[in-house]
Amino acid sequence: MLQIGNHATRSCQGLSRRAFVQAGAIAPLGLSLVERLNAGEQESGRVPAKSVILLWLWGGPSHLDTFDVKPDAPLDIRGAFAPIQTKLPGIQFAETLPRLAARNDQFALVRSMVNFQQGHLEAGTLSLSASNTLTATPEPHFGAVLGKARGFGSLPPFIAVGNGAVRDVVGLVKGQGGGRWGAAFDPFRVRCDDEGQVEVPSLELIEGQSPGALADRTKLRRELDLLLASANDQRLDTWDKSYQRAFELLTSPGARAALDLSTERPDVRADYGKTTFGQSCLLSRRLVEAGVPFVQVNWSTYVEAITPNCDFGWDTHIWNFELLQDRHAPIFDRAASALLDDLRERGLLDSTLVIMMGEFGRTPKINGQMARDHWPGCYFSIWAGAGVRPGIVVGRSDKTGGAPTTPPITPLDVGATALELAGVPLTRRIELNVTPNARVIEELFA
Amino acid sequence: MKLHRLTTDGKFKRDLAWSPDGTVLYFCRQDSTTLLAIWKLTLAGGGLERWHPDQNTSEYEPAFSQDGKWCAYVQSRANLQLKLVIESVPAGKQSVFDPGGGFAGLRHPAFSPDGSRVIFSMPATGGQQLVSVDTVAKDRRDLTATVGINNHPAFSPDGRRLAFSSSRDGDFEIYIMSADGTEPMRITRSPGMDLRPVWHPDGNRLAFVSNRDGNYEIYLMRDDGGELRNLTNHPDRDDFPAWHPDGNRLAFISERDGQYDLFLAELP
Repeated sequence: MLQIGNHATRSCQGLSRRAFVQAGAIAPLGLSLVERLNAGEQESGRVPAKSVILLWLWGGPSHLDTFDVKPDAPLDIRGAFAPIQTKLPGIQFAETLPRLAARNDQFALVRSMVNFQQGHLEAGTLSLSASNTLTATPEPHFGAVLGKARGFGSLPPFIAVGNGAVRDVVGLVKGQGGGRWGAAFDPFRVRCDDEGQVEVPSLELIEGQSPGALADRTKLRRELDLLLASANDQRLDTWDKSYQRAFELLTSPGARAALDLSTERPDVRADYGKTTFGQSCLLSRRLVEAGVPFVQVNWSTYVEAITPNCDFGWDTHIWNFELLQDRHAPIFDRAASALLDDLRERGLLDSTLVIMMGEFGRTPKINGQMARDHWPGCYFSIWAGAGVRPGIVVGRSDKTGGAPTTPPITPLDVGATALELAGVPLTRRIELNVTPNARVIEELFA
Repeated sequence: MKLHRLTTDGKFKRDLAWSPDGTVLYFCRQDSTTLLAIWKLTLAGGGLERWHPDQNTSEYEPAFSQDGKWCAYVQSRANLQLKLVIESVPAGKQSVFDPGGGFAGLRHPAFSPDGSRVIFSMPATGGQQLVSVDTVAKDRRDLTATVGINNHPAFSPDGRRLAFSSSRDGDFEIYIMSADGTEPMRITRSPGMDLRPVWHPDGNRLAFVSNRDGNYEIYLMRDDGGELRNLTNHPDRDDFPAWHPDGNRLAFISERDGQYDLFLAELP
C-alpha cells in the first residue's frame, strides 16, 4: 500500500524521496530570505520582488517588427509595418502592438540586448540559465536559482506554464532547469489551454484528473493506491519527485484554487483573450498571487512557426509579417497588456517583476522569403514592476537594428538583475556560485 | 447594420470562405495548440463539422470556385513549408503545388471566376509575389514582380481585375490591377495596414481590413477608393471579411469579449 509522505522509491532521475525532501530542506537559507522579504530589505535598499513572471517568447521575435522599428531604413530593412506613436513622446512601436503602445508608460523597454549564440537551443540556454557562455552542464535557470534561494514551500518555487519543456524539432533546451544542480530544481510544469483548463502532466497516469477534480485528498490517495497496485515495476518508476510534487500541489487547497481559472471573473478572463498564451498569462498572475516565486509562461513549446505538430513559435523564417499581423502580435499584445493591467489593478505590480523576451531578435535585412532569420546581435526585452522605472527606454540600436550603440545587455545581466530584484543579492549569488561576475542593469532604475 | 453571432466557442479563428451557394461558411479554427483545422458551419441550423476530420496537420485558407467544382486550401506538410492543395469536388482528385526547397510555401489561394486558375501569394524573386496555376497545379504564371509583399489576391466577379494588398510602397495598401497583372493602381492611402480586399458581388465595391483607426476594422469602399465607410467600428479586432454570395450579408471574425467568433452582418 502506498504511504503518502514517506515514499522512498527512486525517481527516474535517480533522486530519492528523501533527497527530494532534503532539497526542500534548503529552506533555512531560504527562510532567511523570506524573513528579509517580510522585512522589506535587501542589500541594495530596494524592496525585493516577491515573484518574477517571465513571458518567454520562444523562437526569437523580430525586434524590428515589434519594439525597435526603423521607419527611416530602406524597405528591405524597415519591413512592411508602419510605426505607431506610443504613450511616450518620440517612441514608436510597430502598428501591430497598439495596446502595448498605449501602455509603455508602465514598463521599461531594453533595445540593446545581445546573445552570443545563433541557434535556438544554445541561445535559449544562455537566456534562461543566465550565462554568457555554454558549458557542458548548463548553469541553473534563474528561476531555479530563485527557487533554491527561497526554498520549497507549500507551492513549488519555480513553475513553468506550457505544453512541456521548450525545444525545437531537433532537441530540448538544456538550460531550462536545475542545470548543474540537478533535476530537483527543474521547474514544476503545468499546462493551460485556451479554455483555461489546467493540467499537471505529472499526474497524467490518472486519467481524467484535473485540479478542479482533486478536491478530495482521500479520493486522490485512493486512486493513486489503485493505480500503483495495478502498476508494474516500470510504472512504479514513474512515481518520481514530479509526481510527489504534483500530489502535494494538487492536494493543497490554496494551490488548487490558484490553478482553477473557472473562478476568475469572466471579464478578466476575456481581457487576456481566449488563447493558450492569454489564459496562461492569467494563470501566472494567479500563481504569483498565491505566492509562487518564479513563473515562466512559454509562448510555445516549439520554436517553429509553421511546422506540422508544432505550436506556432516566433521562429518566422517565412511569413514573418503575415504571422505577426494575423496571429502572434494580436495575441501577445492583448495578453501582455492584460497581465500588466491586472497586476497593477490588484496592487501586485510593485511586488512582481515581469520580464518579456525571447532568445534573440531577427535579421535586419529581409531574407529571400520576405521574412527574417536569427539575429543574436540585437534584440529587446521588456521589464515592469518591482521597482523598475516605468516609461523608459534603455539602450539604443543602430540605424538598421543590427547592433546596440550603447553598452550591450547580455543574458547574464538579465539573470543577475532578476535575481537581485527578487531578493538574491550579489553576496548570496556568490555563495550559490551563480552570476557572480554579472552586472545589474542599473539603467532600469535610473 | 444587424449583427448575428454565429459561433460562441471563442477559439482562435481565421480565414473565412463561403460555399458557392452561400449555405455553408468555411473557416479555420485552432483546435489544439498544434492544429489549425478547417471547419464548416451550415448557416441554416448552425451545424458545425470539421471539413477533413482525419487530417492531423494544419490547414488554412479554404477557397472555392464559383461553379463549386473546385476547392483549394493551404496545408502544412513539412518544416516551414506550406503547400497548395487543389481538389475537384466531389471526386476529391488532388493536385499539389509545391514550391520545393526548405522554408518555402504559399498562402491566400483564390479562384478565377471561371474556375480555370488559382492565384496565390508566394516568396519569389525580390519579394512576395502573386502567382497563378491551373487546376492541376501546372502552368505557373507570375503576375507581379515588385519589392515588398503582395498578398490576399481576389478576382473581381467578372474576372477582369484583381484586388490585392501590397507593401511595395512602404506599408500595406490595397491595389487593383488587370487580371493579367498589368496596370496596377493603388486604391488606399492610409498610415496603417489595409489588407484582405474582397469584392462585393456587384463588382463595384470592396470590403477590406484596416487598422487606420487604431485597431483592425472592416471597411467598405468603391473600387476607386471613394465612399469609404467603417462597417464594424468596434474597439476589438474585426477581421477576415467574406461577402455572402447574395451581397447583402458580410461574414467576419471578431475578437469581441476576448473571444474569436464568427459574425454575420446584414447590410442595409
